Amino acid sequence: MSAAAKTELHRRGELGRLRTQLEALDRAHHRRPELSAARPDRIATGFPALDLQLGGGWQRGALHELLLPDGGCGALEAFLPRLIAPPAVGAARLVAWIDPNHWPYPPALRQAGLDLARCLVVRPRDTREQAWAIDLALRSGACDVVVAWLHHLDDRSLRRLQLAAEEGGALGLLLRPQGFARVASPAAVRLLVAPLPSRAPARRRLQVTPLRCRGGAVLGSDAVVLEWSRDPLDEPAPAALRAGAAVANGNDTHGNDTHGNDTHVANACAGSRDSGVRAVRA
Amino acid sequence: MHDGARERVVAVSPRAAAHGVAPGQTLSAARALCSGLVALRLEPEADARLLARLAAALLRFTPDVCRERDPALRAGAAGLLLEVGRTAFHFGGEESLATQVTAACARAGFATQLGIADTPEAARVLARAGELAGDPEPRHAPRAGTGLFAALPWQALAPSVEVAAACRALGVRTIGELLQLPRAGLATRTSIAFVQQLQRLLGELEEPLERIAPPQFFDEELEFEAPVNDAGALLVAAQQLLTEAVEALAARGEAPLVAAFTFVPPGKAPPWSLDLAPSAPTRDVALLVTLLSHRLEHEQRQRRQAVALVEKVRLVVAKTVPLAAEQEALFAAGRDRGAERTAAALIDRLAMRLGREQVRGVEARCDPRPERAFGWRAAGAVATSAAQQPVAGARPFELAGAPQPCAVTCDERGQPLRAVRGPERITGGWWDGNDVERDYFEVELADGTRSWIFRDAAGAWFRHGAFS
Repeated sequence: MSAAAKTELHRRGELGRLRTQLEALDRAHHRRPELSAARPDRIATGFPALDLQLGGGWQRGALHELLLPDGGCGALEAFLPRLIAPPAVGAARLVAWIDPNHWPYPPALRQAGLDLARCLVVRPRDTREQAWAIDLALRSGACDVVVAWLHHLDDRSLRRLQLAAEEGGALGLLLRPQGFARVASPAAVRLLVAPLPSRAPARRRLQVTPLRCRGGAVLGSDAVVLEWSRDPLDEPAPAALRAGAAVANGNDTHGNDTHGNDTHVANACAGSRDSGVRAVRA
Repeated sequence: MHDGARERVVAVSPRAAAHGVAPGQTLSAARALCSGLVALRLEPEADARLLARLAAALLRFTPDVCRERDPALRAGAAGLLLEVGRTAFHFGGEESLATQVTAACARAGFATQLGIADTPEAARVLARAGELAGDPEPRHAPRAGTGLFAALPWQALAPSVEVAAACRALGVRTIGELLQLPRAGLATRTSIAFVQQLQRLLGELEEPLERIAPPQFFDEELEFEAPVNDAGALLVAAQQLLTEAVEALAARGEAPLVAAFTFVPPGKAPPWSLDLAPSAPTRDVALLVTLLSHRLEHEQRQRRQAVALVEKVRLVVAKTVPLAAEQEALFAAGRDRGAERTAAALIDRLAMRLGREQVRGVEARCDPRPERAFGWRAAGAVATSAAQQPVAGARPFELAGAPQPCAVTCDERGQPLRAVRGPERITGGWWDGNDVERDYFEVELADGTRSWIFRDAAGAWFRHGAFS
């Protein structure tokens, strides 16, 4: 065997060992998602690029607004599995859904890993009752997450909800139509979400524009493209290669969706069973 | 204390006794001795009811609770016998059980003098000895031991006056000395009944006991000395009743499901009632009281007036559910009493304003049809173990109330043009007449949004959900 061949063999062995180590780290990360959160009051989104924007992830004890288009954009699919995961410390509390007309489809919640015993579905009859119920649920200290599909609500009531979330340590998630992006809101975090065409059947993509983030990084309103796969067997390619491909694709085929050089591309495999995350900044 | 025309003292409190008041005196004599004397009328029936309630509460420690028919009990006291030999280990041993019994009695408003021994008579002797010594601590004789009561004075046997005189004449001081005397001689000097008592003490003679049957349901009331209109006072009374109800039901392995309170105003005003139905059956009295206080507050706001005068509070528990001691969790794993309590309080407050049917929990159902793969259940109720049927394909977070007809363009194989997944065939329902045969597809529109559509057996397309 030549010296070159020996070196090559050695290099490959070293690479294999490193890969195993990385995978082990990845698995540990997957099992203990809270490790990725720098602070205990944060819940990692599963997308490091978004975590960076949000200053560590979703904030416990704060109101979040997702401004969504009609129809299945995929935001719940991307974010709910991490949001509703039981906290690493302390008892799991309720996950409340408060809306006159909407409630999540329970089998999908189970696929997302939610123990349905934690699930509380409240159907108020009008917006006034809805605001009251959200306020009570956030304030009670009995809920980990309170989700509501909310249309118009006056500024004072919204401010009360933000205070209620702070008081009860609950994460409030308001799903609102995109039109409200132009209306000021006291919510601690506001994200404008838009779907992007996917690049593989099992994968989905989203573009998220932070409109406001209390305590987040000063990255302004840079749009983030998130990609995840539902298929746990969707073995991601080596990061560098994939990042290159993603950037190439993003710029060539969907150039309009991104904001020029400020775009951060994140690839994530965030299926319900496996949400190991690999991401790169391009 | 009603004794014909003249009222006599039957029992006295320690403080009254300190003033020289003693049983047998007339009330006027007692008042002369103690100016601030508070006289309460003797009500044997009420006392019996009270004792029955205490006995029912103690049934949680053992199924064998017996009424004590000891004529030697001092006036104002009542006795109960608990057969705890088989159940004590559930409560951490006999000493720990004694502490818990004392605490349960104290919660019900009784002072106790406990004796624990192998035979009822020995237990009685220990309790009496404690009382003679003025020491309320429970006394505990080790198993099959005569040592402890051998050293006790014979007065602890509560002998009759004649027997006591005979004992004094014999010159004995302790029970041990009595037991060393030849039985036949002792019988002639004292009485046959006394020797039989000694035999029961040693377990040589069986003692017939009268067991108390657990009550079927709880129905008790508390009467205020004077009518109150203060919610705080009502809550204290309600807490007392709830504590008794919960303990009485715990004796039967049950918990209240609906607690019906009736508040009776003085005079002819109509009573008003309030049903307390916790979201999950619970033995947590503090939680029930919290719920009741919310209800009272709500009631007041509804009526826009303060609580009316109330003379009597009555609690009826007509509905109960079996609840094992360790099955009280809202969540199977990672249970936390505080979290359960706040969750139950939230659910009940929501239900109070919105109605119970608007505040629900969900559970998985074993049905292939997507619209029937889940069901509603009472919020907070412990979820039944859901059938863990693995679902083949991804399910959307939003499911339409009813499938909406839609237009779909198909390719030459008959599959939707924008399908990213499918077909997933879902069939079933023949058993209830709503059988379906559907081919589900996940389709992605040009903007990246995804829908869940299906083609029924007739070839028509419907949109059934959105992968939001």
